[in-house]
Amino acid sequence: MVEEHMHEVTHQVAHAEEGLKELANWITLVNEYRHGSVAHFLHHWENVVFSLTAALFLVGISFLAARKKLLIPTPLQNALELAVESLDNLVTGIIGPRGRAYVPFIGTLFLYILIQNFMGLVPGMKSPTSSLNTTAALAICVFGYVQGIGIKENGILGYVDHLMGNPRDLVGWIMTPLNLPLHILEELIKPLSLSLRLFGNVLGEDSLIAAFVGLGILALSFMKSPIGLPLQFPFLLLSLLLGTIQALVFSLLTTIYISLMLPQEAHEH
Amino acid sequence: MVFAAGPILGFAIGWWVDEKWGFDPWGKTILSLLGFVASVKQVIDLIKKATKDVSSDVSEDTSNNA
Repeated sequence: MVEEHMHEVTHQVAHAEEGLKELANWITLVNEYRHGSVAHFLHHWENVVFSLTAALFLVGISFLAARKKLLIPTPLQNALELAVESLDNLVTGIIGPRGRAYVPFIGTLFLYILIQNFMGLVPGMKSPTSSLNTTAALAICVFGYVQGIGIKENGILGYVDHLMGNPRDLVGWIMTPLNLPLHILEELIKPLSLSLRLFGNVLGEDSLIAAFVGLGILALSFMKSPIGLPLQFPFLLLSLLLGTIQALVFSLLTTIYISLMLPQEAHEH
Repeated sequence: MVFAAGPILGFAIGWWVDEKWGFDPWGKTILSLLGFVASVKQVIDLIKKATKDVSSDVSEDTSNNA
């Protein structure tokens, strides 16, 4: 009897690992037990729903913290001020004082990605950044923003000049046919590497946690326990660390891409 | 990741170029190589930028301490 049950559980876990690489979230459950159009819609747009949840969470926290600005701040206001100041220092440390103009975009990006990465650690939720669609959308935003800054700060001719590798002498002009496609490819590599890096890391973390949750359930399945061993716990801590690092890497690279796009005198001190 | 993205992107664009203008296999070959060179250049640029920031921070600290 026990062997039979073990076999069944092993089969279920193996089946789950084949089909699902991540833990079930509340939308998966809704879709499993309710077969209506709403459930289907939610399941289809799962990542968008969780991304919007992260955005609404940030809006709510910011609203609560900034609603009543006090000279002696509340703990929430203090935490948010600390976050804003740290992000401001990060960006201005790389770009210089002019970088303050880009703090709202880069800061929002960091906090948004951080919250999305951490959502995978909350039971019933999912990291939207474990989907390439979400990370590609973020990377395309960064690509558009960086190119927009390049055109705005350098002018159209200056932007094309930057893409040609700033040719100033004969050798520079001779090298232009090579430099132009090289720079265009370089600009296109940026969003691809940004999106793949974030997606791969977060999916890897979430899959690891899901695998250890499965193992924990399997470990206690011989006594028909409704809960499993928390074998995934160390990896939750690791995920906290890696989620922060990935959010930081994404925003840091965005800052460097902006800095490389600015006219030379603007970011050299 | 940047090293992987360069040749992949170059190959993808090269494929499209070959399909469009029938340069097969030159589009894929040349653009994959260009993608690799672009990714190496980007990594060098990033390292240069990072080391410049670190060295400017160190020199600022030294001048503050002096």
